Amino acid sequence: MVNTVKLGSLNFPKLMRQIGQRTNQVRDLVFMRDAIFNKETKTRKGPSGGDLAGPAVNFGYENNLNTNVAADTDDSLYHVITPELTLTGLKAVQTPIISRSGELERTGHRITGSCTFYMPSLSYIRALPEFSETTQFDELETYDKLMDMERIIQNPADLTADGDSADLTIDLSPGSTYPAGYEIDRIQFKIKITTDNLTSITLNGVQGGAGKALTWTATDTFTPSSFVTIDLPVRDIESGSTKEIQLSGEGKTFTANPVTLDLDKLSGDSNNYLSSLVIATSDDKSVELKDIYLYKEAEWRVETIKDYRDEYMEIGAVRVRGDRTSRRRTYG
Amino acid sequence: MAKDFLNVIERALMMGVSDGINVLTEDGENIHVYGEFPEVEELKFPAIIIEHTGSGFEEQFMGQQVTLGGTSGTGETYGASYTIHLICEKETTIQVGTNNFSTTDAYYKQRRLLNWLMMNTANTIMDLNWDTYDEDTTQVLERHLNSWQNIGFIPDLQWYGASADFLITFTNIR
Repeated sequence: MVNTVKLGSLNFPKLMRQIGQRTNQVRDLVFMRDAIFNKETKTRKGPSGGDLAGPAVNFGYENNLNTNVAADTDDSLYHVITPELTLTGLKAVQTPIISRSGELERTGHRITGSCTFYMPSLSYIRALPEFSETTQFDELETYDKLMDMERIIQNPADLTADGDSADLTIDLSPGSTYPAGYEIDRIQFKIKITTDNLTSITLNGVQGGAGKALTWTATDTFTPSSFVTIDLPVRDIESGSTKEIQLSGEGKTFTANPVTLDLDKLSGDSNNYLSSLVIATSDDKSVELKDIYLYKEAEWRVETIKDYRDEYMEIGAVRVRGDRTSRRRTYG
Repeated sequence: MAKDFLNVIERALMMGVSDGINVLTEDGENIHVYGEFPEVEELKFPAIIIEHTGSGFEEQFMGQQVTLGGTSGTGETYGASYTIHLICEKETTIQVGTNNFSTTDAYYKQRRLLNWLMMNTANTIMDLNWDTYDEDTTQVLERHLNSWQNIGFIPDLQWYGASADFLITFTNIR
């Protein structure tokens, strides 16, 4: 933490520490922002191909590219690569923790809710480890997402082991238990490896009596020589989809492949249950894992931002994608 | 591949309007055309916003047999409607081309600029040659530009603006 950051007369970070020791109102959030893609534009006419007079025509919709474009070139506008952001380590006081309001709409039953986050000043947030290192982050904006753990479904014990696969397999169904998977949206853990790379994260389950798996492979291999937080979705993932996590200012891409496990169909009986979590590294050096959570997410979308400068920020957030767990379990 | 007339025509309309009206300004680079209300970071003035407001079947033919570009198939006359919005800020200034009925003072602002935009946008739309801008073979049958409406000034935003409805019909084939 940069020591020039003013903590305000309240000293909100200290206040959060004290509240956090007595209650669970202080939440450890994951900040997320969608990627911003290149806009579809044209500077040349249709079949004849001559230059169009005037500035590039901006059709308004994005294409599927996220590339650097230096300046106006044929059929493109200036653009700098702006990946999706997933930044961990943002703490905030939340009230209330769970807010649900169900409404039957044209598209079906939708659960909404609203809450207020109180968090330290923007200058403090900008000095936090991942936030200060990620050049794409400048400030909180409306439509940013704050991901909270609504409920922790599984919290395996911390682990220190050498890096062979047997030692890095965490049994999620010890004894004759058959834990369900349909409540789980995401996985989060902190990892530190002495010298090897993190190569993949695999969630195994038994679905319809057969073994199935979901593997997030580290496309950008990296060595987390000090503890880093990995947070990835595990529900409704299609094979080949990618997720990017910012670690020390660099985007690390994970690719889902193979994906045969459908968590919604793990209802928690002897033929449908979550069996293990396997962390794979490139060799067999010592690995430390802690704060391992498989959790039900609460996705909060930032709607209002009030910044009281050095004191604190008040963030109004709404929940727009809540669903009913009973339906998840029933319909799979 | 399915025909994509609504996109082809919308893109051609935007390209045609931008190309047609920018050549009427002195440096040919000032007027910005958007396909929807732009995000705040992208908005530059004067802005011409081509908002697609509706589309659907206009007229079906007996047997629905149509010919387009040497291809025969099932089809009909299809219609699409747009609302063309013109917006300029109070301080927006455009130097209009010297051959464009300008007086000695060719820097247009405010209501004078809005009037110029209305007149020349209308001219550009009615003169638009679809073949120049179409990225696929299309046959635009009719075009109707209605009168400019809601001409005025929004004090809160300090914007001058006007809107007009535009309707075209084209041959749809599949």
